Amino acid sequence: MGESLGIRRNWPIVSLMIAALVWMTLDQAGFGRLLGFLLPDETTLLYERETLATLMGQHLVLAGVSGALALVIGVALGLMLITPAGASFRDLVVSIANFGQTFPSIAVMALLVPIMGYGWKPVVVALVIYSVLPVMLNVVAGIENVPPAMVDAAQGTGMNARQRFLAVQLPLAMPIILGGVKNMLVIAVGAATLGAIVGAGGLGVPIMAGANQFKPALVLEGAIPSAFLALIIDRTL
Amino acid sequence: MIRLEHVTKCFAENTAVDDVSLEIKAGELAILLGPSGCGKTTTLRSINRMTDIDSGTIFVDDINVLEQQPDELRRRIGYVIQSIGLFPHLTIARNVATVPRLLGWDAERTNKRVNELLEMVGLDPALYAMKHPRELSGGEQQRVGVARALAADPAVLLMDEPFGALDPLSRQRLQVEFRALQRELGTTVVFVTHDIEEAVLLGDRIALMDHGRLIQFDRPETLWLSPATPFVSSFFGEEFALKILSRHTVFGIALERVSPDGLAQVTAETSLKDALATMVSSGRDALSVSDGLGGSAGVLTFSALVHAVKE
Ligand SMILES: Nc1ncnc2c1ncn2[C@@H]1O[C@H](COP(=O)(O)OP(=O)(O)O)[C@@H](O)[C@H]1O
Ligand SMILES: [Mg+2]
Repeated sequence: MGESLGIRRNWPIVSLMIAALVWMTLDQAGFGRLLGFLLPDETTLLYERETLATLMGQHLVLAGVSGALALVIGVALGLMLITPAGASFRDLVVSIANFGQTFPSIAVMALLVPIMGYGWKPVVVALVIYSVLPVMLNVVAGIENVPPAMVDAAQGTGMNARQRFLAVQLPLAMPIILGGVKNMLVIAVGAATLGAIVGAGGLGVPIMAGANQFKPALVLEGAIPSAFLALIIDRTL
Repeated sequence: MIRLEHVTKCFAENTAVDDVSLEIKAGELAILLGPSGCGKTTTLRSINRMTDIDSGTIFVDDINVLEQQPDELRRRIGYVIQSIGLFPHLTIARNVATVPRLLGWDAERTNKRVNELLEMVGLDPALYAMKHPRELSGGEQQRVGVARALAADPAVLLMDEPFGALDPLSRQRLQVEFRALQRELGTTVVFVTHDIEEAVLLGDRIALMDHGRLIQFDRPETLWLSPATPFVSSFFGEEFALKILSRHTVFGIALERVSPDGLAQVTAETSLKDALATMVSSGRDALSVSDGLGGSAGVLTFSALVHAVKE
């Protein structure tokens, strides 16, 4: 789909970023030296209770699970909204999704912890609520952006509604839908750092520890890989 | 072949098609002509049920279209609109293969047909099959649109201003080539246009519409010589006679056996419009017609030319 998205990917740079991310995740000592070089006055350079590899794993699971759920729910809702029956619910659903996006994720998690307990569940729910909107809206926008004359021509050849959708509308909407998915994943990878607050682990753990103990190196230890992750998703999808 | 009986279609208060009845013969190229908004497109689309009519009946091959499953009906009727109708994400070959695939043809039969069609519309399959619509000129895209519509060898072809978006030169080329192709295949065509020149050039008969009503359905010559209402003559205007001249050639007109000395020469295939222009520019009221062997077959006079058209 890369060609139709109109974005040229710079594979050498993407490969470099991936290599850098793998290196900082696996070579703790080396990454520690880099942080020491960046912050020469610091003595505590790495979070000691968990390896970065473990935190990265937790982070990827949090973002991945929420992203996948948001994708499924967002696409399903979007497809519902473009049916004639669903069109009348559009304002309502979009308002709810908008509210879900403006309502702070931290507050969602705080409200859910008493119900679901600490751990990954409240994080995933909060992230999904936050991420559904861009996917859903882009499904609707993508389908509606297909010129009516094109759909008309498809009908004129004798395609039924399902054939028109699968052979014409969906492929033509794909660049816009994928754009929404990409935005969603970039957001989810960043927001997954909130998982640290409710004990779900992830790259937010060293960031929070660093903030609490005034150890900026720990903040960077979580923030740099998290930023690389977001950049890589942004450049590959 | 195609018969419309008292077809009426309203959009809210607006009567788009008002009690239209007409019968198009097999193999005929019928034009729906008239000012913008007069109901041409609505009439055309009622034939393949892209528009549902309010009352009346439509028969294609003596079968009532309203009693047929619309998608199946449309696979048997070719439909060409302006080039926007090609699917931009599919190759030319896949675009042309649309209906064969819907009909479940196997790959070999489909490929063979696609190549045949591309050649038929003047596009080299080796060059064009794997391209995408955006890589083609407007004229080439329109050829593909015609090929796609002809894919399942439909007996009927519906065309809605198919050449409307083209530059004058490629439009004229496509008109001439399409006319020849239509004659060769014997396809019955309903062709919507608002361009008088195109209508007179292509049409066996022209259905002139106004405000949803069919005013007159006749050969251009009849519309010219026996207009049903003053609207007909005023719509075609003063130049109608010249446009009619372009439909005919010198061939078949009785020539006079006088000396062709000093006269400009034309061939039997020259259109009467061009023959007239040659008379005007040469300043004479007669032309020499070549016999194709380097000599003259005789002399065409102005009065013979005028007389021939009036018949
Ligand atoms: N889908 C539609 N909804 C409402 N009005 C329409 C629709 N299609 C056509 N009309 C109206 O019907 C009339 C005839 O339209 P049309 O058949 O497209 O005319 P033409 O092809 O001769 O320009 C016009 O007044 C047009 O505005
Ligand atoms: Mg029209």
